[in-house]
Amino acid sequence: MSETTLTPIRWGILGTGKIARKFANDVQKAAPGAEIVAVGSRTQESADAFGEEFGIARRHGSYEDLAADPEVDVVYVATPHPWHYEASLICLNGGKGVLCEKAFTMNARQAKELVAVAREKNLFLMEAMWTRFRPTMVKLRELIAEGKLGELQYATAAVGWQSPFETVSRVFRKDLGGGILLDGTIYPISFVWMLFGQPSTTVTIGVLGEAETDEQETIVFGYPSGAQATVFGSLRTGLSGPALVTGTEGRVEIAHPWWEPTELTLHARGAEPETFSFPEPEGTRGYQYEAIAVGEAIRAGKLETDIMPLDESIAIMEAMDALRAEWGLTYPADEA
Amino acid sequence: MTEQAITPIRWGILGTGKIAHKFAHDVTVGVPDAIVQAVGSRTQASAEAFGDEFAIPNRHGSYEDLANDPEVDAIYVSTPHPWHHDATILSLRGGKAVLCEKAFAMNAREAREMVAVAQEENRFLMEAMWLRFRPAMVKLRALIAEGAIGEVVNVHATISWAAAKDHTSRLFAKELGGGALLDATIYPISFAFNILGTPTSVTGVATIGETGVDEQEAIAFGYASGAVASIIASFYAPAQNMAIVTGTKGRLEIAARFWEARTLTFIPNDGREPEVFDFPEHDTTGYQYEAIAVGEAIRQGEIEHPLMPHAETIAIMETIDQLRAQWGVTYDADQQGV
Repeated sequence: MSETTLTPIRWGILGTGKIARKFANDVQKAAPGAEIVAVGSRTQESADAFGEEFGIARRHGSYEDLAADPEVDVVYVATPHPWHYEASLICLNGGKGVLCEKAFTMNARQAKELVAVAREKNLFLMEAMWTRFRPTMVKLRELIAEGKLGELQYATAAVGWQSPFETVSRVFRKDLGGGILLDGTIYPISFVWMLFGQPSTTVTIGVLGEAETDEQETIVFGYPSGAQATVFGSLRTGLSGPALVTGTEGRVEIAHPWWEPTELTLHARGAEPETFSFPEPEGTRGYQYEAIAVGEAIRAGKLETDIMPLDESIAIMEAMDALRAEWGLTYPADEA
Repeated sequence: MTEQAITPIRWGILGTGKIAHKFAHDVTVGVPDAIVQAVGSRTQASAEAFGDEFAIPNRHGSYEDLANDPEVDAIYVSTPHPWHHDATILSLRGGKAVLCEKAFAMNAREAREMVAVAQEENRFLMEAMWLRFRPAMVKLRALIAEGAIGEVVNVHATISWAAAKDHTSRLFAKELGGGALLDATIYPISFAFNILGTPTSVTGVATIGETGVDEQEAIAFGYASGAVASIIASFYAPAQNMAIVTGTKGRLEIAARFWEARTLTFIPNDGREPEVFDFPEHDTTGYQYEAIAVGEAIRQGEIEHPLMPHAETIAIMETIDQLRAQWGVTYDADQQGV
C-alpha cells in the first residue's frame, strides 16, 4: 500500500499525560496514513500546551468537545484507568471509534458496557495492548503458528517497577486504581492470554500493602490443553526476568523488558539458538504499531481487531476481577 | 587441617543405579579425605559389577549386609524414592550415617520417621540435595547475605525435559513414586526453600496424565515477608531450566541447568554491568560437594547439616504433600503408617 492511496485516519487524543505524549510522538513519526488532528483535556490550558508541542490544531478544553469534533475518526483514551470507562463512553456516544489504554477498565462490568455500546453504535473499539502489535510479538505468533515450538506447554512472564511507598502516589491509591495489577500485571496476564487463551484454572497469591492495594502477586493459570503459565507482578522490584514460552519442540526467550521487546531468541530442539531482531527506529517507542493496526481495521470496516478482540479484553477483566476477589481487593468502581 | 590428620570417611553405596555411579565417581576423584569402601545391592552380581567398576573392596548382596558392614561410616542411599525410607532406617539402625537421595521420602510421615530414627540412634542424616552445596549456590547465598540484591521479593525456577512418553517407565509409574514432583520439582521447590524458607501459602496447578501422576505443574508460594515464588516443572518440553532470584536491588540468574549450577549472573539495578561467575566442573558432575559437607559434619559429631537440616527436609515433604492433596495425587505410602 503506498501512502498516497490512504485516506488518513484522523486521531484525537484524550488526556495529555506521559503516555499520550509517547503515542502522539510515535504516530506522528511512524504511522503512515494517520494524522493527529485534535486533543482534548479537562483544561483548555493543558490541551493548548499539548497542541503546541505536537502541532495539533484542534484543542478542546473538555472530553465532550473532543468527542463531538466532526474532524475526528478515532480517539485514543490515555487517561489513568479509573477514567477509561467514562471517557470511552463519552467518545463512543460522540460517534467516535476508541483505542483505550490498558488496563481496559476497572472491572469486567465496565468493559462489557463499553463493548455493548460500541457494538450497538457500530463503532470501532480496542484495548491499547501495544505489546501485541510490536514486530517481535508478531514474529512470536508466526513461530508458534509455523509449529516451531511444537505444542505449547508453559510460559512465564513477569513485570514490575519499584515504587517507594507513599500514600499520595497513584499506585498506592485504591480510589485511583492503584496496585500493580491494572498498571503492570495486565501485561503478563495479557501475554499468556495471547498464547493460551482462556484458562480453566487460576490460583494466585496476592500481597496487599499498607494502602490495601496489591504490591506484589503471583498467578498460575492452567489451561484445558494441560498447559500452564505463571505470572509475577511487583511494585517492589523492577528487575523481573525474561518472558519464556516453551513448547514440545522448542522455546522462545524474550529479554527483559519483554513487554516492549525488540528481539526474541528461538531455541529449537537440537538447533543452535536463533535471534530475530526488530530494533525500534530512532525516536519512537513502539506505540505506532497499534495505531497502524487500528487504522487498517477501520479502513477495512472492522469494529475490532483479531489481535486484541473485545471478548478477550472482557475475559481478561473478568479474570482480574476474580483475582482481586481472591485477594480481597475492591475498587470504588466495583460499588457502582 | 592437614590431610594426614584426617581419617577418611568410608562410604557405602546403597543401590547401583545411574546416580550411584555418578556419586561413586565424584567421591573417588573429587573428595580427598573419603573412600568408597563398600557397595550394597539386592543382588550379589550387581554389587560385584559396581565394585569392579569403582574398585570397591566390600561388596554386599543385600542392603542389610551393607548396613552391618563394620568398615563403613556413612551410607549413600541412592535407590528410587519409594525405598528411601526403609533403606535409610536400615542403615541408621546399623549405626551408619546416611545421605539419602532426594526426594527424601514419599511423604512427610516417612521423613519424620527417618529423622526420629536418626535422633534415636544419634547418627547423621541428610537429604542429598547436592545443589545447595555447589559453589555457585554458596556464591549466590553469599551475594544475597551481603545485600547485593537487596530484599528478595521473587524466586522463579523451571525444571523441564522432554521425557519419552513411555508410560511403563519409572517416571510415569505411580507405584514407583513417578510424576514430576519427587523427581524433578523437588529441585525448584528446595531452591525456593533455600532462598525464602517455608512458605505461608502453597498453591499449584498440575496436569495429571493417564497413569495418575503429575506430568507437568506450575506452583506458587507466598511468604510472610511478602515475597512470592513460582515454579514450573514439566516432562513435556525441552529445557528452559533457569532459576531467577529477584531482589529490590538486583537479580541473580542461574543459567540452565540451574540444578547443576555452573554459571551465576548478578544483574545489579544501579547501571553496573552484569557480573558473571563461572563454576566449571571438569572430571566430576558435582556430587563431591555434598559428600565433603557430610564428611565435615560427621567428623564434628553432628547429626544434621545446617545447609539441609531435618526440619527443612520435613517442611519440604509437607509442602509436597499439600500440593498432592490439592491435585488428588496419592501414593501407596500415604496409606501406611498414619
